[in-house]
Parts: sequence; C-alpha cells; structure tokens
Amino acid sequence: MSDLLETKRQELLELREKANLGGGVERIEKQHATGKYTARERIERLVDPGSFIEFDKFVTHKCASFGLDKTHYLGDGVITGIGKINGQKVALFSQDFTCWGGALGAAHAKKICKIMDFALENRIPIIGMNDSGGARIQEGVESLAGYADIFYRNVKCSGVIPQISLVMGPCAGGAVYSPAITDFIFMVDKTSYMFVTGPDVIKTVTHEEVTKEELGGASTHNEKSGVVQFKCVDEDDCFERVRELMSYLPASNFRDSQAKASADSVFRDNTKIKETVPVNPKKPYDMKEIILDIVDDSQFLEVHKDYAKNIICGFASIGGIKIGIVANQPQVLAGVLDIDSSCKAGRFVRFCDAFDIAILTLVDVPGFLPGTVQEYGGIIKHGSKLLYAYAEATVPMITLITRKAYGGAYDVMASKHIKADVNLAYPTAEIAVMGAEGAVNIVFRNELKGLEGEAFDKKKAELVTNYEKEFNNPYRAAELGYVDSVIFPEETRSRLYEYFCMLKDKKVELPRRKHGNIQL
Amino acid sequence: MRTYLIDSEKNEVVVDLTKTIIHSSDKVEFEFSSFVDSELVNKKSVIIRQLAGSYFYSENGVSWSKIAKQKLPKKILSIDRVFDVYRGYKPSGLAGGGEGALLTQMPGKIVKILVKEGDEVYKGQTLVILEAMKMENEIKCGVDGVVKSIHVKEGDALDSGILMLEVE
Amino acid sequence: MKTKRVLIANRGEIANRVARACRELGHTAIGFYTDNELNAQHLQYCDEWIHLKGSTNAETYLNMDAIIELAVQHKVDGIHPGYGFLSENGIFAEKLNKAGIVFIGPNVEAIKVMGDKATSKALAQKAGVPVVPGTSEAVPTIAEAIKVANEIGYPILLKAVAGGGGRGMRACYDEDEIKKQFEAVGRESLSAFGNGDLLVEKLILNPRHIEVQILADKKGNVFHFFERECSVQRRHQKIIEEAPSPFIGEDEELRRELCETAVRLAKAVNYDSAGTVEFIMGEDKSFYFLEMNTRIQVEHPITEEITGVDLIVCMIQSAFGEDLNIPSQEWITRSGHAIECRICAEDPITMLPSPGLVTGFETNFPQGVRFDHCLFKDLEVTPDFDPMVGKLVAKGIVRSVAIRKMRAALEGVYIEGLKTNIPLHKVIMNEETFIAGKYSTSYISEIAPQDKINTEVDFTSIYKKMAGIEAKRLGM
Repeated sequence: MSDLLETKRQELLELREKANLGGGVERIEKQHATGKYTARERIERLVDPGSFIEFDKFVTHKCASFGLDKTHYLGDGVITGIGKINGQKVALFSQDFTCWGGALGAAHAKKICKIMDFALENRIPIIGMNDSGGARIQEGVESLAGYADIFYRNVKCSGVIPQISLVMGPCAGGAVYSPAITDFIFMVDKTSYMFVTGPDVIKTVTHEEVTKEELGGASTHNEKSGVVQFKCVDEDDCFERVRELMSYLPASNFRDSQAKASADSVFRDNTKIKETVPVNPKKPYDMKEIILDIVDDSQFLEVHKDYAKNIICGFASIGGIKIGIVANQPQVLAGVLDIDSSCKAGRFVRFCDAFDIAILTLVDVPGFLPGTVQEYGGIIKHGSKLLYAYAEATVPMITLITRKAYGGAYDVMASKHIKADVNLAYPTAEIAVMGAEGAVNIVFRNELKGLEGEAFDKKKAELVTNYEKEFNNPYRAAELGYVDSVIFPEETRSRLYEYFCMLKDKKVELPRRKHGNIQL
Repeated sequence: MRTYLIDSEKNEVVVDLTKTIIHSSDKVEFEFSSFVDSELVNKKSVIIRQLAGSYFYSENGVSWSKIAKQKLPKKILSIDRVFDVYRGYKPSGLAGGGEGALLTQMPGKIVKILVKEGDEVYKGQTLVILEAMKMENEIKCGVDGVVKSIHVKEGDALDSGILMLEVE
Repeated sequence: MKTKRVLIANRGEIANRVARACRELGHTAIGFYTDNELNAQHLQYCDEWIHLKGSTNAETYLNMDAIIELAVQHKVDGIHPGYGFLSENGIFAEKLNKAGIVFIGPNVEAIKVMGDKATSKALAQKAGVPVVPGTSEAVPTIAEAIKVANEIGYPILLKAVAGGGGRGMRACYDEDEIKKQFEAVGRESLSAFGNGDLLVEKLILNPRHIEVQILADKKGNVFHFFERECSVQRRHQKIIEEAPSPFIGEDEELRRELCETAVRLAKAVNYDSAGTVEFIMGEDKSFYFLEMNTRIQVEHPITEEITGVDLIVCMIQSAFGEDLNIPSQEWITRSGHAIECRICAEDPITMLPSPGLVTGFETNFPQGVRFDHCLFKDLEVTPDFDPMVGKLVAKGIVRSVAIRKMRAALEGVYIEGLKTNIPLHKVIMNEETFIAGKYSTSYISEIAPQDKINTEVDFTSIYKKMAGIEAKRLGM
C-alpha cells in the first residue's frame, strides 16, 4: 500500500474513532455515573449483536450564532441507522446526551427525519431513544422547525409502521409530542422524565411545588397519566421489553407477520382454568390466570400494566398466531368500564387493527362505572372510543364471554352486533341488561310495592331466582345466534386456535372515506 | 444483550453479551459476563472463527477448540441440566410477581383481615378481604414471608392506593 | 457371488453398521423407517427405503408379520435383525425360513435352545461347560425357590427363564427377600418377555462379566475371537466394555481355556453364525457359563478392533452359505487393547433415559478412534426406543494408551441439546479403580463415579456455546 493511501485510510479510521466518542470520554463517564448508557451503547445493547449500520456519522451543524461554531461533534448529537431486533429490521435514532445535553438543532433534526423517511419508505418499524435537554436555543426557530418536521413524520408514519419511543433521560417541552404520537412509549424508572412544563415554571405560574420525578417520572406516567405503556426498572430491562414487544409486531401494516415459534401444543387441555370462573357473580377472580393458561408457553406481554387495571391489554400468541388480548379484570373494580380503561383499550384495539393483529376479547363486565366523576369527566365520549375502535376494526376478532356481560358494556366489548367474527361463551356466562337484583327492582316494582319485612325479602328472593333462571345463562343469546358456541373452559385454547386459523384470511372493506371521526 | 437460561426447576443463569466486534467475515469477538446476585462477574472475551464449515472457539486467539454448530437453539446443555434459552429477553408472564407491600387497588371496605402481625405467610395466600363494587376481593400475598405490619382494621373504608399491610 | 437384497430390520447405529457391511459386500441394503423416523440417519447408508407404518415397538420393529410381508413384497433375500428387537426370536427366524428368506443369524434350533435359560444350561452341562449352581428348570413356587436356595447357599439370584438385558433379575440375600421378590419378578418377566417362569441360581459375589465372541459358518467351522470384559454395568446393562479382559490380563492359559470352552459349546449347538458366549467369573478366576447370545452384540466393535475382522460382514457371508475367508483359528490373532463407551441419551447422574432433540453435533477425534452412531443435528431421541445413540471405541497398543485415547475422544464429541452420559464416561476414564482394571459388575453402585461429576454451572462452557449461537445468528 502506498503511503498516501495509508494516510487516507488512517484518516477515516481516526474520524470514525472521533465520532464514536461523541461528547468525549469525560462526559461518557458522567453519563455512566448516573446509571445511563451512552447513545451508542444503547443501540448496541438493543439490537442483535453486530447488526447495527450507521447513517450520517459525520454530519455537523451549520450554525454560527453564539459561538456555537466553535464546537462541532461528529454526528451532531444523534446516532441514526438500521439494525435488527430478533432478526427483524428496524430503523433507530438515539440522542446523545454527551453532546450539548442531546439538544436538538437543525442538523440533528434532519438526521432523525432522514431515518424516519427511510423507515417509512422501506416499511420497517422505527425506534427512537430520547435523551435530550430540549431545543438547541442558539439555533432559534430552526430547531423548532426541526421538532415540527419530526412530529409531521410521526403522524405520517402512524398506522403504517410501528413507532416506539424510549424515553431514557429528560424529554421536556414540545419534545414530548414526538413520543406522544408514537404507538408505544417506554420509560426508565428514576432516570427519565417527561413533561410539557417543568417544576420551575409550574412554581412561578401556579405556585405548586412538585419534583421532577413526581411531575413526570416513569411511575407518574405509567400509573397516573397513562402516557407511558411500559415502565422499566433500568435501561437493560427497557431493551428487553422492547425486544419482547418487537417479537409480536409486524414490520408494517399489510405485511404478514411471521408465526411466533412455540412448542406448546394447541390441543393442550386448559384443565387449570376449569374452575377459575366462580358461578357466584359477587366473587372476583384473576382474568390473567385464564389468559396465561390459554396462550403459548404462558407468555403474555401486558401493555399499560399499571394503568386502568380494570382492563387488561397485551400481546400473546396461540399456536404461533400473534394476537392482541383485551380482557376485563374482575379482580379490579369488578372489571367495569370507565374513562381510563375505555381509552386504554380503545387505543390498543386501534393499534391491533392498524397492524393486522387479530384480537381476542375476554368479557366479564358489569357495566360502566357510575358516579359524578365519570360523568363530568366525559365517560360518554371516552366510552364511545372503545365502541368506535371495535366497530371500526376489520381484523379477525374473537370474543369470549366468561361470566357477566351486562348492559351497554356487553355491546361495547366486541359483541356480535359490532361485527366480532366469533362469539363464544362459557357455561357460566350471563348476558343481560343488568344484574338480577337491579332488574327485579325495576321490572317487578309493582309486585313488590306494599310488601315489607320478611314478606318483601321472600318475594324478592323468589323473583330474583326466577330472573336468574331465565337470564343467568348464555343460551338465550345462543338461541338468537349472538353467541356462536358455548364452550367448556378446558377446550378454550384449542377452540380459539381453530377459529383463529379459520379467520386467517379475513378481508373486510370499509366504505371509502378520508377518515372516520372518532370522538377525541 | 442478556440471555436467560432457565432450567426445569426454574433456576436461572443470566449471561450478558456486552460487546460484539466483527473482525472479518469469519472471525468475531464477543465479550460475555454473567449475573450472580445482580452483579456482573466472570467477564470473558471469546473469539469465534469459522474454518472448514465448523466453528472454533478461542479465548486468546492462539489455541482453538471446536464447537457444535447449532441452528438457533432453544436449549443449552450443561452436564445434567438442560436450560431453556431466552435470548434477548425473559418473556413476560414467566416470572411471578413478587411484592411485599399490599396496596388497595380500588376504593373499598375491609371486610376481614385473615392474618396478624408476625404470621408466616406464603405466596398466593389470602391476607385481606376487601369489598368493592359489590364484590368481595381476596387480596393475596405476592411473596413468601412474615407479616411485618398491618396498617388497617376491619370495617375501614379505604381510598385506592392505601398501604394495607407489609410482608417481609 | 450373486448380489443379494438384504433387509435391515433394525434402527439406529446398528442399522448404519449393517448397511455399510452390505455396501462392502456389494449387496443391496434395504432400510426401514417408521412414522417418526423419516430423517433417520441409517437411511443414508441404505440403497432402498421401506416405510414401516406405526411408531411404537410393537407396531414396527417387533411386528413380524408386517416385516415379513414387506420383505416378500420387496423380494428380499435375507433379513439382518441387528441386536434387540427380533434378533433372538426363534419364531421369527422360523417364519422367515418358511417364507424362503434367509435369517442372517444362526439356525432356528440354536436360537431356540440358547433362548431358553433352562435348556441352554442343560446343554452346556452336557457339553462339559461349567454352569452356575442352581436350578435348570423353572421354579414354580416360593417354597421351592427357598428350598433350592438353601441347598446352594445364599446369596441367590431370581431370574426370568426368558430374560435378558438385565431385566427380570433380582438378588436375594435371605429367605425373606425371596418371599418378597418372587412374585414381583414373575410379574415383571411376564410383562416384559411374555413368560413369568423363574430360575434360582447362586449369586457370585464381585463377579466379572466376561464373554467370548464366536463366529461359525454353515460348514461346521467355529472360530473364537477372544474375550471381552463388560463388567461396568448400570441396572445390569453394560455401559463400558473392553477387550481383552484386564481381569484375565496376562493369564494366557485361562484365556485359552475360556475361549475353547466357548467354542465347545457353540459346536454342541451346531452354531453357524456370529454369537457370544457369556461367562461370569468369580474372584478365584473360576468361570461359569451364563448364556449365549445368538446375535451380533452391541459391543462387537472392540473385538473387530483387536482382531481386524469385520464380524458383520462375516455374519452375512455365513448366512448366505459363503466362505468366511478365515483359513483357521491360528490366523485369528489379537493385538492391542480396545475400549468402548456406550453413549446414551440419559442423565449422567441418575442414568435415567432423557429424550430430547439434538440441536448440534460435531466430532473431533484423535487417531485410532471409531464412533458408530446414529447422531445428527435435529435427531429427536424419543422415549419409544433404547436411549443408546452411539458407541465410542478407542484402541491403543496397551490398555493405558486406549484409556488415554478414550479420554481425548470423549472430549471430542460435541452433542448439543441432549443430555448424555459422556460426563460419566469422562469421570470413569480418570477413576483409579477403572484405570487399575480392578472393577467388578458392582462398580457403578460401589465406586459411584456418577457422584464425582461436577455439575456446577461452567460459565466458560456456556459462553462457548452462546458464542457459537451468536456467530450463527450473525450469519457466519
């Protein structure tokens, strides 16, 4: 090799080395000290080993104001590229806190936009790792423009490719709206926070005292606001959950997802849940027991685990067929539908519908939650979201009524009438306008009028028994064809598998329109 | 990236692949560590080389030993144990929850407290019955342990998120 | 010599072995595969394949009528039964003869005589072969058994008339135990062999299990191929064999006497194939006839290694009435020492079968190692069949060299995904008593090498495996 060629090669090596160091050794050590990985380490730990290919490694900013031209970091504080997760291609960007605290400038935003465009054009999921102090103030409106460019692309990608955000440090102000639009947000406990206005601003405006962690920590968003779907213990845990989530997602809408490998037999009897559902409607039980027993290898990835716990949403597979599960949780708030649970499940159903993931709905719902808080909060409009989502969905849908399906909530929970494909029920199912006691009070109020004490109780008990006999079973609905089949709990898994197989090639066209007008 | 090896008795070995360096098309270097008591130990750099259709392993790049080339396996053998391999993540649902503090998940009234301080309790044991939404909810214990303290009494009407009792 | 069509009514490594012998002789090897064996490795060595419908033993390799029907249909000249299954079944051989198909094994008469413990013992006594003191006929009652036991002295052994392979046997040290065990052994034998009759015989303490390989042709020539020692056993099943016997060692006189006794017995039954005469040798080097296996045995490779004769080939030649190409007994000489380790899909410590899927398989052997096996990547070892998946044979000029080679050979077998007894073999090859050659059939229970296996998680070996998996994932 000639000397000149050798120098040229050496130059590239040095540049690469420099780019890899980001903001320098000192800042990297600082980042490590706070329990965080650097942007580059994060990518390395998230994707399949050795699969990352970087884009725009040598991009730098063009801003000359406020002395910014004196510092240039190769890559401009964000790393973008393509990698593989579980062998599936993904586009990634990872903000580098060691370069100006990850502040977003024009070049930085342009890199993110470029990789998002790449992801959209090639129909591969995009994963963003946010760790940024905010806009690069020196660049002024250019950095604001940069944010907007990203938001616009987030919206354009929505429903076309899965978008996942990992909030792994600060994410404040306008910057929060990029993750907000994406399908799933992961947050790392203790090291990350998200808010529109910070504690300082809040103090001056409303005189409220609140810490960053209280205001926008992972627990807050995961349990209270419901902004964040996954709260992770640490960054490694975060990467694991992302990989697990990715194993259920297709690369894009209308692209067949691969079967999930499992050695679990689809003809396994669900003997474990034979007696899980109690006949007494007053007794709660854990719906998760049923879910874990019917899915492959008891593997169930729950979304929004700690928010609106009265409804369970998550991904699993049955016989390798990937499905989204929505289930009422009788153990929490008796499994009622309220504002939070409707919004949670509504968004989940829409995600599954957008990405062709079949939906299994397990129903044990006593109705909507009564109370002024709910009514003032707009349960009418929020409840309608779930109804809208189910009625709009065209993916294969199977509904299994395990016990109660009362009133309007019965209609909402993927009933036959809003075009679920297969509706099943356990022998313990009760499909009625309301529970026996309430119904008797209304229907037989004339018979009960004037009666008091023991006579009243006796008469009422008799009427309740009669009512229960009439309605506390799935056979009235089955007579009308609203329930396709009444099954034993132990045959759940095999039946579900058979039905899902049959629905594999379901195709339903919606009327042509720009888009529906879902209640917001 | 972590890999979880879990055997039939639910013993767990956690191995972390911390670095991958691709030297050439037939030579790769990996850096592994393992978790023992939540600490990274046994750090080791290993090199894999492909030669004549087989894989060879080395720790120093000088002496090589052959390894069985496997198709992406779900199992790894260690003498008398066969581990299930969960590469990249441990699937949700496999790990049982384990929480010592019992918080109310919904507003309700304590119907009955079935244990007293100092009692030994096991995972899954019902500790408290809480009535809410006309349903009697059995509040179960998430861990094996001893009841450390009880903060409520029967008949209390509670808001959600109230600490009822602690198990250690 | 006309090309023959040979059907192999067996599976696993022995089917490989027979098919390769057929190839040498220019015969057409025809292999069976059952419902679960579409990928069976022995088919690679066969020229034609026949589907044997079913999956269980009874439906397939023990199903005489189905096998004979298929054999007739495919115009088969001879059937090699391998070992196990129908290899010592006189009825099968008889049926084959009727169907005009050669049974590659001895004549029906020899099978029948040797297949029955009582008649074989009687015949041995007539031929002047020493036998273990005990009854030659079935003992009908417990009382009878106790009476015999008192005559020959304790300890005694309760044994199924039709038994073999270590099943249907139980040691009793006093009267009470006979009372306890008698019926249980009877039941076990009835279900395992279809015959619940039992024998009583003297139990030799610290016995050595030594056997002599016999090979005979249809012209009345009977040769012996020296002895093998198979004393390392678990649950009365051999796991390590070696030839020559370290117990006999340099005692050429004893060796000659033993081998000649075996030949005498073979001649007495007009033996005309490969077979093995098993003896039990006490600590005083007195030996007693145990039984004769009228088939090729699992451990035949070690004899082949020290004598250089291909026994399977000879067996096929003999069955078709051909010349064995062995001029006389003097031409059969032995040299060196060979050891065989049976590689089984089992837990190395509990030694219980452990079926599973082989996810990776490689070998890397020193010179002088032979591995007869049926392993390949994706082989599924099912509980339907015997867990033995291969036989590792190492040969050296002297015993210590063979052991050294075996140690290296064991290090050179890489089986992934399937529990095997390789860790146990590794411990035995380094264990004092074994190295000294001073072991008896109670070696496994007394020395307990399985307890010396280090079962701690070895991170280096796990990293090694994971690195291989990652490399594969990278597409290397």
